[in-house]
Amino acid sequence: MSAGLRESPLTESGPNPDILFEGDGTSVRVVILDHALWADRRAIMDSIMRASASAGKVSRTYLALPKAVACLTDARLFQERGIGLFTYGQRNVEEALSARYFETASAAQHQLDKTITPRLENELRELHAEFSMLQQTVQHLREELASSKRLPVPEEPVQTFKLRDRPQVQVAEDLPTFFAGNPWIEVLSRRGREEAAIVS
Amino acid sequence: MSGYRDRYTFGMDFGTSDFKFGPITCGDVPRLLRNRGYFPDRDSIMMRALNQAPEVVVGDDVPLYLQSSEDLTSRLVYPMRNGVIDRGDSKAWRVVDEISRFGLKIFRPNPGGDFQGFYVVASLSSVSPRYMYENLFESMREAAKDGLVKTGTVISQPFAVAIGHGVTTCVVVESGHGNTQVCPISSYPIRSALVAVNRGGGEANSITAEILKDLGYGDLAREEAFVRRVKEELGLIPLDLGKAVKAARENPLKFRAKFKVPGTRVEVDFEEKSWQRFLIGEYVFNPGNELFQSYLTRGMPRPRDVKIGDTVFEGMIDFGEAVVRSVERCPVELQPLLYREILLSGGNFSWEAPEKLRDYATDAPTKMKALLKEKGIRGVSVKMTKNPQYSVWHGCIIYGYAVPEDYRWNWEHMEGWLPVAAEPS
Repeated sequence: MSAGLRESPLTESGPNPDILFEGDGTSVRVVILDHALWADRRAIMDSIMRASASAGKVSRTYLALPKAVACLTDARLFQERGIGLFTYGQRNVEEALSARYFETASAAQHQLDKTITPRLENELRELHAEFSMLQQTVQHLREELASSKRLPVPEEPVQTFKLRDRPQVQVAEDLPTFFAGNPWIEVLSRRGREEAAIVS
Repeated sequence: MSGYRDRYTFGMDFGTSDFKFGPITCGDVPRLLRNRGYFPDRDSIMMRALNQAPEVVVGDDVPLYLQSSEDLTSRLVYPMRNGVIDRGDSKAWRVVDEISRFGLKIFRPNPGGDFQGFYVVASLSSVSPRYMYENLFESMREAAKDGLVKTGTVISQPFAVAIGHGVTTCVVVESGHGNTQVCPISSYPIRSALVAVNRGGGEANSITAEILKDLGYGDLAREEAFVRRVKEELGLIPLDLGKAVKAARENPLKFRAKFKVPGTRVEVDFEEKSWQRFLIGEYVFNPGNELFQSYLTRGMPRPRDVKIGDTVFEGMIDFGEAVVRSVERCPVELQPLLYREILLSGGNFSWEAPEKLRDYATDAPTKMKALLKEKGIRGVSVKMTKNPQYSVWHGCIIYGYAVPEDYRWNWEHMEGWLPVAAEPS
């Protein structure tokens, strides 16, 4: 707590819940062997295994042992694995062995966050601007759609000839593809005929 | 309608850069040649020694005859550079004659068949004066003497585009290197509503060259081909110039314009001036923006109003204004129908917008819509032609195939067949 850390809830639960402290990109986990279980071989092994599994995943890992057990342990084994040791009695808690500091993903992430936050903020601003522009575009499209609906459409086609009177134009089969469905073939094939029809 | 013309309808599109030609049997894609001719120095010792230099060379053989770079300006002639050939420009007309005949000869069938000459449909700029039509007919008459042409006609390029695209009522905006033509079509081209703008891809090259000079690439800015490449690679059409420039100035990295010419060490990087890439596209569509004043006052050529034949080419009006002026010369009840189908054609409308800059950069149809919207025209449909490169030739082929043979040429309508082959006596 004096290092500016706050206690955080752990996701796992069990008969021997550990304590996790977090703050400023650092996390410290303390695996506690309950005083009442110091004679329970299985409980001791379980605590050591949990501490071992935690080492390297958080910034520092400590194993908190009752003083009576601490005197029976070989601190070098913990030191080699970077695990620190707390001993506790009725009155006090002491740091018997400092835990090694591990650079963890969360710490790195925190550092990364610091560098990318301004960039994210910029991107957010740009997204906001683009969103505004999209809103404007949609508004324009709506206006255009409305105005296109209002465009006056002549009730009859512009051409003066009668569709029913048109002779069907016979087109050869092996013509280039741009002939397919081209309305000009029929329009152009009447060149000279329309003027003659109007005159007569 | 089947028979002779299924095989012997022939299209010719005299574009500013390329001559596209071929008979209906080419399918969807015509032959393509650079629209140019080279006049070799026939007095040179080498040419005399070889005794084989023709007066004018066209087609793929041109590079074989090229002499010093200094001679290129006077000897290499691009007849349609501005869409219009002067009446007295004998060299340009000589190239047109030669290139037409060259194209026809390539496809002349072997003797012994039923071939009596092609039904030739040539296409010219809609602003071409009458003498251009007359000269082209004269050229066809000459080719008819060799049995290459049976009958011929000339139609305007926007009309051919509309035919090739399959739309009978529309406005065609054809923009090439030298100029832009706006022509409403309603079964016929409405010639009285034609609006010509003296601005095309060449003006986009001019502003690109100025930008390159300002960035310190003055030596490279003199090479037209390089400038054109930079324009195509880095130029962007802004949806809204003010917003696009502001965004690009605030975040130059996002808009960075950088281009390396493949196979060379030449690299252009606009760096913090990357916002200037938007000026290139804007200048094509709307050169009236005040941002261009500094370039114009420093000597960049201003697109001027010019009168060629009966047509005034306006230099500085924006493309939206040009479309509105053209449509408003048509009957009121036709106008909504015309706005519903605006076709953009020609290389000057081939612009792409990178996906990541879609909020600021756009394509030619969207820009045209935006310009029309500024003028209160909404609900328009603006499209690029399906085959921008070949739509004119497609239109020529359909016209030649479909128009009745007895529909004779009429100078009032500027349509119909003109018999150019000598009548049998």
